Amino acid sequence: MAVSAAVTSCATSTAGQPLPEGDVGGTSTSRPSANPSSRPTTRPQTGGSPLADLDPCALLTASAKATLGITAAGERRKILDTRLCQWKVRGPKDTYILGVGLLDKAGIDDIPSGVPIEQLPNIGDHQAVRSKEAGGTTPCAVILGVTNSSRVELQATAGTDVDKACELAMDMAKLVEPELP
Amino acid sequence: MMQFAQTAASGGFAVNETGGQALLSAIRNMRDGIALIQSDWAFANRNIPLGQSHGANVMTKVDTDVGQDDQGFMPMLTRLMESLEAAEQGINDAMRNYQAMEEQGAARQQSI
Repeated sequence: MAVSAAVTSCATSTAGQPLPEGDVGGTSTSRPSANPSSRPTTRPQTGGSPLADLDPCALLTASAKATLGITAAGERRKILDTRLCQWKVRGPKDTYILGVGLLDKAGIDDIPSGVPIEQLPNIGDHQAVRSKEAGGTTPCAVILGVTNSSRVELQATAGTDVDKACELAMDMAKLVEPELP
Repeated sequence: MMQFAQTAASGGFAVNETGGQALLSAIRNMRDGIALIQSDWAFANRNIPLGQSHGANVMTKVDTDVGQDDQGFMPMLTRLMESLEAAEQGINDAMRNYQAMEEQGAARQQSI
């Protein structure tokens, strides 16, 4: 991990665009979309975020929860700007942590460049990407773009079984997608 | 921890049902805690709100590396999770060893 690179990088000046945190989504300079042809499925944002009034715990319907084996109530939390609902599901070997996260001010293109993402075919009307941690470890997330500056993250952990985590994340994405604007 | 699991698998030690279940419960709680940390970190890692300046872009990359490179926090947590899985396997084997010893002992008493 190159801490020194971060320090020495201040020796030369590079043009940048300092923005307050809340404006991150509007003028993203992060990496371009891996599949520009799929971009029209994330709509330009007009007015407030279409996710602003959504409850992350309500995005999984009762039948969706039954499909995923969720029996307990979800726990609402906030991690940085992500409004999150999290459930624990006792599996045969591992306890799965399932999470639905809403980001009102950051779209898929705003995901930091160090985070590995992989383009997926659209899910319903929404652009989709998958994010696994470096080295292919759990958790695994399927991320749906709603507008250029909003997204929904469906994430699962399954012990050290990243394939199972990705399967659960994809199941959640397919169940949640019809509920999204 | 792999050595522990291998020793148990080869019958090197045994643990009774009560002790084994207590150990398995403790390991499961630890694994659940690690899974929650992994989940929180991944959500945060995709949403580091440092802005869009050049410095912010550099720091975002550094923050990600701190968590993800070979010596980073997340790979270490994954290795701990793998060790706990091996320990769980070892304790299950040790419980089977204990049960086998009990059955052998009972069979020997009946034959006397």
